[in-house]
Amino acid sequence: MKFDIYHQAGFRYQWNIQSINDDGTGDGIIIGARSVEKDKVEQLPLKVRKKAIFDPQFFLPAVPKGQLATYDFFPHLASDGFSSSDYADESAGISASGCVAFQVQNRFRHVVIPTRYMAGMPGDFIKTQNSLFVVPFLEAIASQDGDHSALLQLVVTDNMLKDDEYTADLLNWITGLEGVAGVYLIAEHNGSSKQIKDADFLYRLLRFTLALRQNDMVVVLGYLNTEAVLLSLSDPSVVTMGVYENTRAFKIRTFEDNDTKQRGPSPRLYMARCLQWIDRNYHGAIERRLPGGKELFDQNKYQAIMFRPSFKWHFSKPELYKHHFVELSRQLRQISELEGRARFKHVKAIIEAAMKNFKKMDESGIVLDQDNDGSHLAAWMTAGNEFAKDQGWQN
Amino acid sequence: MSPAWPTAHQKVLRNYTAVILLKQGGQKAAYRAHHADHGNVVVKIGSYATINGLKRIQREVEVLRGLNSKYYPRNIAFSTEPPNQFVIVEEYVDSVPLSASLTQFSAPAEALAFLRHLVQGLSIIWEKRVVHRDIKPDNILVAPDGVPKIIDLGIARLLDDESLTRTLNARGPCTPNYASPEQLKNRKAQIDQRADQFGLGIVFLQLLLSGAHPFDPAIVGSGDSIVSNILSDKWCRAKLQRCSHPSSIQSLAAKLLGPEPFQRYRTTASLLSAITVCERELS
Repeated sequence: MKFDIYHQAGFRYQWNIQSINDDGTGDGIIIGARSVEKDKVEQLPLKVRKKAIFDPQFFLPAVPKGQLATYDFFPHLASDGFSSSDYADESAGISASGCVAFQVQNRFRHVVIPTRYMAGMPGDFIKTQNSLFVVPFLEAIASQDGDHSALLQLVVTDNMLKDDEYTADLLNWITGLEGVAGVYLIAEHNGSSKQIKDADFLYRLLRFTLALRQNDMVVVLGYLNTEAVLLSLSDPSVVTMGVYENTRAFKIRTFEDNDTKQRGPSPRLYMARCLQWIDRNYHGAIERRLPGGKELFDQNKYQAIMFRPSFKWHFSKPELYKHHFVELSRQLRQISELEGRARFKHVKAIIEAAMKNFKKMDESGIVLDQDNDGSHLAAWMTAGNEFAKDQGWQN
Repeated sequence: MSPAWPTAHQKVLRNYTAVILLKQGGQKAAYRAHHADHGNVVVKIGSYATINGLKRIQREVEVLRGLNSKYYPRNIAFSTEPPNQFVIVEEYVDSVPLSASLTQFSAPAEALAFLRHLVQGLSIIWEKRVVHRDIKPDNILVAPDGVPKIIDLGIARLLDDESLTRTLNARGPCTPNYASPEQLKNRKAQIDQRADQFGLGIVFLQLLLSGAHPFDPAIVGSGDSIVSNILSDKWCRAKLQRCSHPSSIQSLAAKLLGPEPFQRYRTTASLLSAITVCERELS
């Protein structure tokens, strides 16, 4: 089936909205409560809200970081200081009612049932999620007039995905919940590189997503980087793309109180033919040394601005991300038109072409570091091939 | 009235005529009898050992009383007699157990039609968040018009109720040869309507295979027992393929027999829709 493209918005959410409106790069946005204060969410045009998904971001219910403090239904505020021992009995219903009412009144596309972040593979994961959020939210949704599509938010960790029994327990639980239309799935990978280079993780995520889809559930894949291209094989309903790195890879530390400010990264440009963001510092060498290197830089109005001599490259410039949205959404739209085996063949061809481009760079003497090279593509190809074999798309 | 019947039973049965013993086992006996007001009925007389045992029986009665369907016998009365006897009176259904007529539905179209009836019948209790947990040919009666009646909700589970079986048993209440893997492993939290789908899958294949059990080691060609084959997901896929049924029937069977609940049908609508696909492919 065709999938939608959503923008995983952070505090630069206006860039996302502009990109959707001006360049047609998406079908809606996911608004994160940590990044956008409650009043500003309510003031967004109805046209935007109706296609948007609101992410309450209750991952750490005791930490009202950033704009989370402006939401009176955030657990820490609704319960006068979140305490997990009392919360389910005393405050969960109040918080759920407020959060559901907010989502319904603002007419968002779905009502998100939030999740508590739990590291590793806790034995009480399902029980905790049910008591803190799932049961109170389903009750609150049922008490609202009209039909509302409920999405269960889920953060699956690397460890959870790699344990077959744990994964089966999660799938049995999710698919057995009545009144839940789908899953807003966030997969947290432990790796430290900017791209996911773990074939096993990607393969298991593909399988997990497909299992949900085979249960006729909506699946929104949140916090994706360029691996959205690969994950499209699992027939998701929505894939996402974002501005800064913290919207393209889920890291719980960004929701913690003591998260120290990181130094801004160097500016990087998304190069669609490489399926990679490549540091500005390498662009000169690519243009000068790689035959046909200029053609690797996708041509669009943002590229034209950025490649003017007067342009000051900085990671906080909107053109970098608007360029990314134009190019990645173009790739994703083409993939979305295809299904099954044809989709796999197309994605495989894109990955193979990107691998060839990196090989040519290497042969031209351009030695990219591990955050700019194509080392993620081998993992993608392995995961994609393995998944395709399961589906009977290749021998 | 036969003097061979227990004295306690005779006391109950004196209100009836034309009494015939249908079934006797353990602490329970079932009689067919005629009642002046209710016509032909089934009188079940038994004894309970614990309060939980009584509660389970009452629960079955309550579930049946809440149903008004051709797929279930109508409950007429329930009473208890000191010190520990219970009496259930139900509508008598002129029928034979499916276990005695498994070959009657071996044509794929007939097996599918029968399965559809069973799904429609079970969906009535599933909607009430009740899981039968003991779907097997002995618990399905076939009326002369071919419509099934589902009986014996004795171990049915009300998903919203507290469990009556707070035991440390390795296996949950079930008939092992027809139980889903999650029942056999006593994973209570995972037992929902999809556990019944597993039993339906076995029954459906028994119909197609003229009574053979799909997990029987003799049919599968490996395994120590039906239960061990259920737990290791070994059923007669190859035999079914050799029957050259449409691929949709093989997919339906495979999905009903999914080893994990998430691998079965999430909703009754999707299961019924899969049956429709099979029926279309057949026609």
